[in-house]
Amino acid sequence: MKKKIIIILSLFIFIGLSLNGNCYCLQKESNAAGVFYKANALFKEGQYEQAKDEYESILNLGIESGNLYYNLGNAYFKLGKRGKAILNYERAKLFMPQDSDLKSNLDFTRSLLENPLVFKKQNFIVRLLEKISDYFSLDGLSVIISVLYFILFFSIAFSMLHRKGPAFFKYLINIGFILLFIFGCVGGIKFYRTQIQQYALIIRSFADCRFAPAEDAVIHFRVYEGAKVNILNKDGNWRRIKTPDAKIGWIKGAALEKIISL
Amino acid sequence: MRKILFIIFSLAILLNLQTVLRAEDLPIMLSLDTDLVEVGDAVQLSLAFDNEQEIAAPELPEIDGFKGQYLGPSTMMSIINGKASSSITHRYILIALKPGKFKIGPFSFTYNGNVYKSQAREVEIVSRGKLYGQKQQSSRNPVPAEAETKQALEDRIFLTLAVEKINAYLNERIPVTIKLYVDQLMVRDIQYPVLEGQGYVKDAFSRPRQYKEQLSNIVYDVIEFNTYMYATREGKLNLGEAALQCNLVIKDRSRRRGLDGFFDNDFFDDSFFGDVFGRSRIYPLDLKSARLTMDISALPEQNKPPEFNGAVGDFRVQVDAEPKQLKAGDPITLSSKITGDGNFDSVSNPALVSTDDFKIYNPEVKTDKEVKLFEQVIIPQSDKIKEIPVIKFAYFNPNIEDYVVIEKGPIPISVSPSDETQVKMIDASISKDIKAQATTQVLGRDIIYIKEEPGKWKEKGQFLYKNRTFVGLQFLPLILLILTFIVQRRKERLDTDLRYARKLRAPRVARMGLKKAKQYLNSNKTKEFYDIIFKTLKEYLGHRFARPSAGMTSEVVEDLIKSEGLGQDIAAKLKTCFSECDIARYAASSLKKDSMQNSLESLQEIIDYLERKKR
Repeated sequence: MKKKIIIILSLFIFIGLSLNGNCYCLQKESNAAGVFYKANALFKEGQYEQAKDEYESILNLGIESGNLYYNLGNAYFKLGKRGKAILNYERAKLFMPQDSDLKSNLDFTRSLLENPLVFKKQNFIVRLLEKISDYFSLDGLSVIISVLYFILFFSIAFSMLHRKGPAFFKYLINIGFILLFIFGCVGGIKFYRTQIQQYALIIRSFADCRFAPAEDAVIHFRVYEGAKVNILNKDGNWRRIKTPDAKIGWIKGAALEKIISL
Repeated sequence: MRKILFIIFSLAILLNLQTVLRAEDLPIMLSLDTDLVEVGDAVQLSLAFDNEQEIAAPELPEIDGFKGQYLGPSTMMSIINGKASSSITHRYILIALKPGKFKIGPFSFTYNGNVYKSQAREVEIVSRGKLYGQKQQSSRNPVPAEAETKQALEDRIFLTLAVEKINAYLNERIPVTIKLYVDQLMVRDIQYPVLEGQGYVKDAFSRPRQYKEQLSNIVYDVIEFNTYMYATREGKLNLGEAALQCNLVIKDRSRRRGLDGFFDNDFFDDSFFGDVFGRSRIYPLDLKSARLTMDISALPEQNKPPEFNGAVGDFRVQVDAEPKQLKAGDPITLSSKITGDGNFDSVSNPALVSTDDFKIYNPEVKTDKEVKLFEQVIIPQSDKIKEIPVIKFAYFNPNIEDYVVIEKGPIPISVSPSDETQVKMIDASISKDIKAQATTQVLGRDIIYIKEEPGKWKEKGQFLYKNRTFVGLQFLPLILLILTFIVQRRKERLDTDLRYARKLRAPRVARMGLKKAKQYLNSNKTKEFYDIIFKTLKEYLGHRFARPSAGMTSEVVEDLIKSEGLGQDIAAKLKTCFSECDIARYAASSLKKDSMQNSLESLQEIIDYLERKKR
């Protein structure tokens, strides 16, 4: 009897705590939505600076969304800060990679850059896998991989129990395995590119990359606003970066901003 | 009374004496395995502490003429005439560094408030080859007698750092050489050197070279490491010191004499046999070279061409463009290949003198050893263009201390009008009105408007793969697969192993039979009761012993019980059970409810017993 009372009490406490957490989240989301609509109204009135501040205040609440980053990117675009605009579009892309409006705005903003980016040519398979990975968000890929994994394991279990069962399961296993392998690679690339590698955008009009992390070191090359670079390591306020055309140099940390701040 | 006073007095003296003895320093037994040694050889020092087992290894002070390393402790316990005593000995290895007579000790250590002191011993270090003769030296390197003057270990293994030039320019490529000199020592596990200092960058070390070099009449074995450095600051530059780690292999002197010539032949000996048979010891060495001071000058402002972009060295340029025949708006790949000696990191794309009428893209860069290739896409905007303008590449040549400008081109190209332009011309010819209308309509492009709804909110930095429930869920299919595997194995065994299957089926058959028998017992149906008892017994035994149920008679079962070594009392019970069933079939009315109850209980006992024994 005592045991039952303890279990029921624990369940009540657990449900209570969960609801409490959910209530807190819901409250935060409702506040954020209010600020979002207010920022949209300011944007429509042409008050881009105030709209940008309101959008950014939502991020300080600790929540984010693809549309929020998209609108923030638009606000920065209207303020003439193309680097920051691209940065926020890139962040939005992590949430809604298939959004056509976002793609259009990102392409258009990039086309306005004075110094277009040059990318090192990758081999066909890497390019294909990267293209597929660009099509999905990391969460989307997690769900796809998980579903494929479930299907594959259930099919294996079923065919183990029914060896003389329908051949359909054998095909399902083969297809499931191939798809899981492909999506595993795609997911791995996506994970590596978003969670391991630290990509950043140049947010100043230009920045000098030097041979060493020092003010008086020789300038190696120059990167311009909107350039997407990979941060390799850091030394105080300096960041060692690699550009898409594989040039490496040291740049001041204030000249760039990471796409994902982990 | 006098006697008591005498005893007290004697005791007081004894106690005082003990206190005096305690106040004295406790001795340490210092011993050496030899007192005469050659430079580079080792002496084993042992410090023994009597009546101690847990005293920590004392740290040795600096000993002139030697470099020390702790080897480890050894403890000893002895019982003599029933009296136990113990001691701990800490052993050290001392490497002889220079010739002369040196004193080892006295040492003094404090432990648990007690002061331990050792005596001192003198050791003589002689020059290389003096103790064991010159046999080894003469057999390997015919070195003149002057070489004997060089004695200390620092002279027998050392590191040097050198640069090709002390006065250099910013970004100039300067070869750096680090050499490890070794004179008749066994060295292994040589690491790549580390170069300290600031204000420069350097390449990775190339594969080291190994050769012999004579220096002050001594022939050294040399390992040479090469790289290039580039100064990034002007002014005084401190380069180094270069540091290198390696292990010195020291042979055990006690076995050396007999085996000297046989095992000491290889220079960078891997000492495999030496380690295995305990004839050598490893001593880690940290070698450091002297520091270099360089004078770095800024590149001169005089004669600096406007095209100069920081390239320093001596370069050659090849330029090519493909295709040379194209339509306006089509891309041309302009390839500039730069070869030569110098800092390729400072080499940037050669500049086109004029970029009018061309749309220029950033170049793609490919760097290889001593080659840098720039592939730049340029798009002619008009069909009036006849050539790609002159391409200039400027660099500073430190050898001639002046700037050099290389000019390539112009490259002639043939540009025809683009398809787009032709279409426009046809359109224009159709209607002047339409053209006028088209020119008045201003077309442009802007970003797509903001989103009205915030979309799905998410906690910042939260991804599905970090969600514990999601991760936990991924274990489900794995668990399911393991369970399926177990079930499948069991099913397979049931299908193939009939004996096992019947054994598993036996208790189920027994349970059902007993349940029915109980029902008949309660309704007092004697015949039916015994029929089911008989049937259950036969079926159970058949399954239990994997035999046909029909053939299960009391005699057969008795034999089976005997063959399995089961109890005889159970055989008797079985026999009784069978006979009761026989009686019931012919004279059921003679058996009462008590007998039925007994039969049921004994059947239950038989089954329980056989099930227990099965396990």
